[in-house]
Amino acid sequence: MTPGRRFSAAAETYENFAGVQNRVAIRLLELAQNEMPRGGPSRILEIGCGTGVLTRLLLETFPASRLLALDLSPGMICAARKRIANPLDTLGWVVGDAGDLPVHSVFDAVFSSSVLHWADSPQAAMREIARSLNPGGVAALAVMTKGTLAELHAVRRRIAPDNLPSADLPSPDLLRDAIGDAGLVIRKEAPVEILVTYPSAHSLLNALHDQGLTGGRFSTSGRPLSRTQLRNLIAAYDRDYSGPEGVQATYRILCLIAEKSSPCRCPGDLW
Amino acid sequence: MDDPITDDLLAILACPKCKAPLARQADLLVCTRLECRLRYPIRDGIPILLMDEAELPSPA
Repeated sequence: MTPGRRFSAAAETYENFAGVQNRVAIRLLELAQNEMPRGGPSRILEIGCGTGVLTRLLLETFPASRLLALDLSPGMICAARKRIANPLDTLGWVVGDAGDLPVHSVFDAVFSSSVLHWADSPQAAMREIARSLNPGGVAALAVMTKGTLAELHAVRRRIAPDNLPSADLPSPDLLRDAIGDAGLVIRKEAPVEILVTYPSAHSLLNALHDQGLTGGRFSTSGRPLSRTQLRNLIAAYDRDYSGPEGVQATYRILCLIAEKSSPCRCPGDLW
Repeated sequence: MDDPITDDLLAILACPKCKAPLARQADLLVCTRLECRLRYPIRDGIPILLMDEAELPSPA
């Protein structure tokens, strides 16, 4: 995507979070496809395969590649493995952590969609991604960033200003720095903003709970909201963010393509 | 059922702690580095390569 188009992508509207995951995975692949090493990636690592939304697309897009799908959750991998046929036996599964990848430096491409915002340390995750790549290898990452669920955060700040979440999603700059510090060079980036419509604030909160977005360090503080605060939050959200179809919630995702530079022979090395 | 831990898969997996190669020992993957030798379970054919789930080496 050209820089001019980078910030012009209009927000898209979806009816549920699965739609968001699917759209982000497709956008990431579009962005990555022409940036792959020459001859296509021989080995691909997918970090955080979840239920296999991106895994399936990767198998279709790179039928000649060997794919290793990694997730922190054995349950997710079992679910993904049941859903995805792999007649050519090019797909392997492993349970592992993005901060301590259990792999050698053998991959031509690392993909990760809508999951690295969970990493305890984005810096450690980026270092591990860089380590797992061959020289000239490419990382294609879609990361949920600050500004996601901005409506909910705004309402919460008003309802319970002394009881705010202890952590926030990473900012684009923090991600860029982490990638650069890990020794990767950013080739392309594309912010994606997606609006999801929920029937009500109550159903939004239930959906976030199901996605695992509540209860995590991004939404909890030392104390849970009281029953009254929760009721006030739902009422304020319904009042302030209602549209004809229900209430809206914004997701912000940054798609990044970064390369591990090949070792170059500097002029000084000749002597 | 075919063994899901193929030689090709084993060749690309590493100990998450020290990044040394792993070797198959029955239903475990064991780090080959003498100073580490952490043992990782395989459950439902899936290697669980998490330090939290690893066992310390059995006494010699």
